[in-house]
Amino acid sequence: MRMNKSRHRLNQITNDSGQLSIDFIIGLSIFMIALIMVSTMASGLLIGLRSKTIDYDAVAYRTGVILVEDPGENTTFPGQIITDPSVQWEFIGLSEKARVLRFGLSLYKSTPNILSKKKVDSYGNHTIYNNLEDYRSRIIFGSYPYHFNITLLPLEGSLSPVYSGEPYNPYSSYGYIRRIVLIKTPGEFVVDLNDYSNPMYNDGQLSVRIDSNQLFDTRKGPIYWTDPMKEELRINLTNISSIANCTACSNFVNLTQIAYSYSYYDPAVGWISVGPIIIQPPSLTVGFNMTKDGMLPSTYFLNNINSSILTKFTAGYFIQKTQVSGNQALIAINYTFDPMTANVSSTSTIAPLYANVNPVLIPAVLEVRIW
Amino acid sequence: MVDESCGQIYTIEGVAAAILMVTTTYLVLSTTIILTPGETHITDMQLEQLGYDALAVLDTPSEYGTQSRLSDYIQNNKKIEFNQYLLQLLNTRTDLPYDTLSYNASVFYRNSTDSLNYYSFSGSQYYRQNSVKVTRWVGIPDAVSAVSDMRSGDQTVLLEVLIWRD
Repeated sequence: MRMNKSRHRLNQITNDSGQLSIDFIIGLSIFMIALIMVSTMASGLLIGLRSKTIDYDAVAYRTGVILVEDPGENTTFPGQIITDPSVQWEFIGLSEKARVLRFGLSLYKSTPNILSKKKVDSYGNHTIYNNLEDYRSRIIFGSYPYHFNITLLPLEGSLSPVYSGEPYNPYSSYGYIRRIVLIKTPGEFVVDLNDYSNPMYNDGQLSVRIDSNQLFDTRKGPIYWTDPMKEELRINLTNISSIANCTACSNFVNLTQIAYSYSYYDPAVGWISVGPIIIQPPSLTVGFNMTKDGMLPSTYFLNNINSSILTKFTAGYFIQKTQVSGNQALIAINYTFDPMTANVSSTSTIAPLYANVNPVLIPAVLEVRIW
Repeated sequence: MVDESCGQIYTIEGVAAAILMVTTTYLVLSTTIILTPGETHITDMQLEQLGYDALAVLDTPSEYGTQSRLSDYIQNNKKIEFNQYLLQLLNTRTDLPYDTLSYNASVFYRNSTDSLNYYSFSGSQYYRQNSVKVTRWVGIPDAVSAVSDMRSGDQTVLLEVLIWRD
């Protein structure tokens, strides 16, 4: 009995058969199938998670870069005389908006983060760009209909915020980017008339020359120069009482007419002068505005001035006003005063003009949300 | 007798392991947000872009020929103004509430013996939070009063800013 038992044990230990039991194979198979299933499921879910948010964030980033670092399309070289508004996207209006290929708020390619005020205004003009597709096709691109909300908030000054896109839910997830930018607002050209008083030959003419060589000061660079074609131009004639001819009428001066003229160089002919072309009364002129002693005048003719005349030409005013191509046109603003009241003369009072009041850069925050 | 009774142990073990694995994976994936390296990189990129934008805006003079704010802040050691303006730029959103970013800024410079040195310029104490680093070379004129051992003459110092979200 005892011997049988020990032989039986011996048999068990020395059972060196190479085959696995069916039980083990089934168990291993179930385990392997489950393992493969789990790994497939896990990696698939991760891919799903990643692609979604990264996609939204990437689109938000791209949209931010296009708006902040790109001048948009159509665009021209700096300093170019523009004779057709459709070559520069911010001057294209409602009727031709299909020609705007891409929004971009930067002044030029070389000035990332410095935005043009005119471009910001045009971008936020919902009369021209009145549906979401106008924006989607010009800053977001692609066939997938992303939802978006883009807001530009100036941190200083009196500029108003610019909104575009749809309202968003702050508690849901979305692709996001925030950029900090500077908006360039126009400078002012201040001419102290005390330097131009000329009682000897007073014919009432005063000409302020807008010299593109002075405005395009390449030493200053694009952030600080003034582009009279693309930016608002402000001329402020100050110290008016110093040219007054009439002490009996309390040093008041009367302005009778304002006009502009320009000259350009034609290689075949030489210098050609055009003008003066009278600027029509403000109510009939889009983009032109005059202020007398800090107030808007009730009539075009500015009588009884004794302190200042601020003349504003909005961005793009001179487009189509000068029928020359190329980059050399000298524009002059011609003020005609009543010679009985003012001691100024066309012989001596041409003021070469340069930016003596610099453009102001206003910080702003741009937020892009994509979902 | 003993041989036959151990019949389905492996099978039962396989089934149990399978159920355990599937259930665990399902629970893990459905109850937690898994941050992959790609996603943390996106957050870093957003902060980094914001930081570089803020320093660029601070270092752009508002008028031609004048000193930039950033240069003035470092030259004259205006820590309070720097702190106020940088936090405004970093944390302002287009709607409320404000963001909760903090920063720690250091300035690296060459001292009078021409060796590299640095000092903590401004910002909150940095306790090894998950942060991004942005830098900018800032030109400062002579007459430096910020640090006593900074070498004289016009020079460029390196401003290094760590930014993190509290």
